[in-house]
Amino acid sequence: MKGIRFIHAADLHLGSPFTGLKGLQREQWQKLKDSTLEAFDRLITYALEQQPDFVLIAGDIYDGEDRSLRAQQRFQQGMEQLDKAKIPVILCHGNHDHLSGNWTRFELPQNVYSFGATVSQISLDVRGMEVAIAGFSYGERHIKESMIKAYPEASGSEKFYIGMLHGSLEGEKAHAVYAPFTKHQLLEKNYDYWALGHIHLRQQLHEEPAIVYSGNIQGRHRGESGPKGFYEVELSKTSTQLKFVQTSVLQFDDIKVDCKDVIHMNELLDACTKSAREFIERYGPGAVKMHFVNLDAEARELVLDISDEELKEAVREAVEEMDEFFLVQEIAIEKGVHTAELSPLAEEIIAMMDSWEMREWKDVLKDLYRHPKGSRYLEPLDATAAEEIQAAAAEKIRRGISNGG
Amino acid sequence: MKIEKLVIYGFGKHQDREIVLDSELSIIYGTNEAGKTTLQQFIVQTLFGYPTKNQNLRRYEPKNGGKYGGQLHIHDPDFGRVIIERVKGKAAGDVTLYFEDGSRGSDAELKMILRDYDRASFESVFSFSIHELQGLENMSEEELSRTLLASGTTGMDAIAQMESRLEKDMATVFKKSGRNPEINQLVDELKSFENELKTYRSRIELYEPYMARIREIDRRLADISEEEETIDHAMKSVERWLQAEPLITKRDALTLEANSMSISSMPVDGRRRMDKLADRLSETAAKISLLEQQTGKTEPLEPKKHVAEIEALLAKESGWHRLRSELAHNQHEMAKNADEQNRLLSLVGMDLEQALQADISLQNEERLLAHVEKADREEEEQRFHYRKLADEKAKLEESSKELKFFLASEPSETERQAAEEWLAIAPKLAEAKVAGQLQSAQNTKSLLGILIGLGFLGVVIGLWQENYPLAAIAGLAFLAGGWMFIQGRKSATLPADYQQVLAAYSGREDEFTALIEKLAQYDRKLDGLLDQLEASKRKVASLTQGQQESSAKSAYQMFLQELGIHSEAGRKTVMELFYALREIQALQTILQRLGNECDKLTHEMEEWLETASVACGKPLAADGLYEAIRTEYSMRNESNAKLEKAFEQHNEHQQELEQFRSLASQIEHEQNMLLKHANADTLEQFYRFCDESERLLEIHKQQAFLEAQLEGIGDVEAGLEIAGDSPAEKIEGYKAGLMELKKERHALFAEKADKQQMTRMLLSDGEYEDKLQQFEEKKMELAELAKRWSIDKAITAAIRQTMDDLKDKKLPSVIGAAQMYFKKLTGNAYSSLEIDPEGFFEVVRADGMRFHIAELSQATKEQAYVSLRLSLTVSMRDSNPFPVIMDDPFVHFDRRRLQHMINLITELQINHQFIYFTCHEAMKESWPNASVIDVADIERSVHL
Repeated sequence: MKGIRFIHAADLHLGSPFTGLKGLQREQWQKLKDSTLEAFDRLITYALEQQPDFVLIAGDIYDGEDRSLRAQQRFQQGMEQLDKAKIPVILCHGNHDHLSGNWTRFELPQNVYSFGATVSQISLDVRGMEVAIAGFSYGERHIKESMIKAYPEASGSEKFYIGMLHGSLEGEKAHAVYAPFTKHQLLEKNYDYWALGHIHLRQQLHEEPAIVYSGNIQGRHRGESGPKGFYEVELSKTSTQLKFVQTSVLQFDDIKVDCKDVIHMNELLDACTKSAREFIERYGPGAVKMHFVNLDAEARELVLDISDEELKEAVREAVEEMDEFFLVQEIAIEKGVHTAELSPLAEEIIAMMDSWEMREWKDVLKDLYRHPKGSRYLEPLDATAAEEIQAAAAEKIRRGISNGG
Repeated sequence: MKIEKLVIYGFGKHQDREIVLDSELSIIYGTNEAGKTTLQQFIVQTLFGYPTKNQNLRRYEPKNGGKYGGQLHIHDPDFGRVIIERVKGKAAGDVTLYFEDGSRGSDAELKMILRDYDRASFESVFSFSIHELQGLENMSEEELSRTLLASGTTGMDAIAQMESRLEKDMATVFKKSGRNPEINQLVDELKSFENELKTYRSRIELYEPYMARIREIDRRLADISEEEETIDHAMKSVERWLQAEPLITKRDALTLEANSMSISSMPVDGRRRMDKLADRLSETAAKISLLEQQTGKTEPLEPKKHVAEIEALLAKESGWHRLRSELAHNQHEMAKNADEQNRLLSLVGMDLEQALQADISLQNEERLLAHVEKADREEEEQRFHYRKLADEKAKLEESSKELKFFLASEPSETERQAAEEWLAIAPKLAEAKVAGQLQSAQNTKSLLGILIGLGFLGVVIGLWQENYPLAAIAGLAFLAGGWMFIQGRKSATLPADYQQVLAAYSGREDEFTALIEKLAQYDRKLDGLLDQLEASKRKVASLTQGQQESSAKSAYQMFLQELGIHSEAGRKTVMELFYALREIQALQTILQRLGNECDKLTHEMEEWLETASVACGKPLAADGLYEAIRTEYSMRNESNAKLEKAFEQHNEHQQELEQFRSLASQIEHEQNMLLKHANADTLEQFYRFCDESERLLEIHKQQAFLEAQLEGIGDVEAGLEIAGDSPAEKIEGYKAGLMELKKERHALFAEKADKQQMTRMLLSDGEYEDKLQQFEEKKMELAELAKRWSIDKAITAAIRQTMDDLKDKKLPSVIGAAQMYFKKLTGNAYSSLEIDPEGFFEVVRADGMRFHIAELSQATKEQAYVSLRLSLTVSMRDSNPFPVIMDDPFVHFDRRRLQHMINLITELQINHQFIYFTCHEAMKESWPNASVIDVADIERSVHL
């Protein structure tokens, strides 16, 4: 039996800024700022070349508040290109571009179908095959209740059933709850494909039928690391073929720098540029956290001898020579086997921090996080952040003490 | 650690000292200025280093420049016996440690022995004076517990340092209510960023309404176009009607007019032809009358004047001029010759008559010449004779003058006598002289001497040189000299007369000789002169006698008289006069001839003049004759020409007149022809017919034009004039409507352009994105700073909590011990020493009353402090076994309490070394078994 071929993309977040990048030169920023748009262009170009039967975009086309007109215009132009190529686009709006936002909207061409605030199903005729696509758009910023129940069950095996859903798995802690669902609930609907959005990490929750988060098309901070893009799906009644197509222009990632036998600074910098070059060859431009590994005593002495900022500055300057954009965001130094001996008092202090629960952390840091103006711009203090702080603090004590204070 | 011995090389006033300390209690006594404090500082500084220059502490470098430094001999439970030596070197001094096993150490080892203690910590626990005790009231629990904790825990310093450093760092990063720390600043920045973003966003929000408005404008623009078209159509039809209406009216009127006219035939171009004929006729008539006038005006013609005679005269003009110049020439010649004649006459000095009569023939001339020659010769002879006579006369005169002069120099009578005498005396004198000469030869002795000397010398030289001739001559000279010498000796006396003569005349011989000569000369010359005079006289006489006659001269004068010339005139002049006379006569002849010629010419001219006067018809002068003739001639010619011309003109006019008259009759004929053609009787009628036919033509033309216009206007709705407003009002209404629409359109276009520009700008504006990114960057910065601050904050919080924990564990025991000591020291007057909830020390009196430490008496306060210190020391016995150094802290204690104190220390000194500095003699006696060291003594006695 013949199958259909379509593109599943989500979370375009067009024109939304990069976060967690600091101290960029103006020209660096110029290179970066259009990367979501470029990634989107790659998506459109790919679609125009490959002529899929249709394109699904599972929410969050842009960030509601931060949307720029340019991004919207670009999206509209993309849609018009697809319209000319007679490629239908089915999209739903997510929490970031919900329907009740009072922001400017561009009129989209006829090939684009946009779901309303309630779950509905539309039917597409694809070369004689009928494809039923169900979905909904966010009517408002927060959809806390489950929407899955409203999805119609698949009836009959003639058609292809596809569900589009912008939301998160129930019980997923890391993300705020949006239109929660369970895998079981999805499977119950007997659909052939679930095109999910909202979670930026690309993942497949189930094989057959495929339940897929395509992830976003361009990472925007360190948390969204690795290659980003969309799926080209070949769907038949018997099999589902997923093909990942990378669109990310710039990749956030972690890379390791082997510091074996490094004694002098220029050796260290050479090691850094080597790793950077390897990364660029593989993934193209990047913004990375560098992990110095395999440090022997001398290398450790070298890196510990200069301040973090200085080290970062030196490495940044060294990799700036590259042809491609390459940004070192952070440097982590592998813990040595032989940590300097600490006084019992220092150990006691570290142990003290270890013993703190979240409550106590919050109490300790309340001055800042209670600051009426400042706290608004800070990420809320969560367990991960506390852990990070603790680790850094412990490291600082160790270094502070062993450096002779 | 116990200090056993101080060895001072040089420290302050102390030099080369050695002080042995007791292992339990040493009382170091000294009066003021004895150097107690110096000793105390020696201990502290040897352990912890000399103060650097920038510290505010005193350095004890010996003033006299001796060796700086010294040793502490200590015994430590962990390290055994160690000598700590510190001498001058780097700022804090150079340290060497000598261990028992022979090894050495330096700062690092010392630090170990001191258990990482620094000076401040040491002084806060182990070394105190009364001043520090007094500061107790200000000490908070916090500080106390710090001190306590510091006592027990290694690594405390590092932690404490880290804490304070972090505190400092944190203060620059964030303050709860600050402005300047980085986070606070950043937050403000973020705030303003957010506001900016809001502005941007609100601008972006303009986009949609603007786009909607643009669409609306487009729709409205389309509507406006439609409306305009409708109005335009209506207006056009009204306008058409307005255009057509007067045309139609006019057309109808013209048709009516054309119908009312009745015109037969009209010659082609009749009016123009008629006009032209009339013009020509009146022109011809005018010309005729003009010509008639002119011919009537012509005057009768004069006869012509004659010119033939004048022409003949003119032909002979050169003859006239020649005549005139000839006459002038002759007259000129005559005048010249007359002048010459007159000149010669005056030269001759005769009148004309006489001159003409003189005979000037050649014979006469020859006779004259002969006369002249004779007279000349005669005159020459006479002149020679006179000259000779004059010479002789002059000579005569000169001779007589000379004689006179000579006579003046005649010698005197005395001279002549003297000369005569002299002639008699002279022979006598000569005799006397000879005699005298002989005598005078004796007077040459000296000469002889020389002669003899020379002779002798010559002989000697001659002999010696064997020059015998010389010798001989010399010998001769010698002999001569000798001889003469002998001669000279003889003397003779002269006779007396001789002597007389000699006396009178000797030496005057020459004088007298000259006188005689002179006299002789004179006489000779006188004779010569007299002879000369005589001769001259004779000659003059002879010359005067020989006078001559002059016959030739008188003959000559006679001849001259005949000639009429004055006889006195010179001979040369006479010749000239003769020639002049001859010339005068010649000139007279010429003058006569010229006179005749002139008369003839004058006559001829008069005749000529008369002829001319007749010819010109008026009298004429000789001067300017021909100018006058020529003028007359040209005048006559001119008037003759004028006459000719006038005659010709007259003929012409007559001819023209004839022509014009015939032309006029022809034109009249043509006019009549035209009238006939137009069926007109009169010229007026003709013209009226012309007007009518032209008008008809005009009407036809206008009709055609109107038709064409009407056709161009197109269909005209009939009956428009009946409905509603007047057409003009209608058009006004339409126009106003259109204007409104136009205005609206303009406004809409402007608005649209504005909105479009704005939307375009919004679309292309990258600034918002830039700002957004910058905002994110700032947020990142904030996050980093927050993290930094959080880390520091976590560390400091952890340190504080750990400290608190420690304090909770450790403090109570210290306080407990302190309380015990305090009880003892106060003799149970106070039961308890506690920390109040605010963290300050409090004591409880036996009666249960509570006092803040500041409220206690000075001594009690000090006791409380000492209690705490001692309690601390005891608690730190294992970790920091340092000696306690006290600088007279107990001076405020009464005897009883001092005893309690002593008792307590005695109790403690078993485990702790105490070094007590005091200046009170009583104090040293109060301690029963302390080893007392008198600073004064050591100064005297102990010297290395």
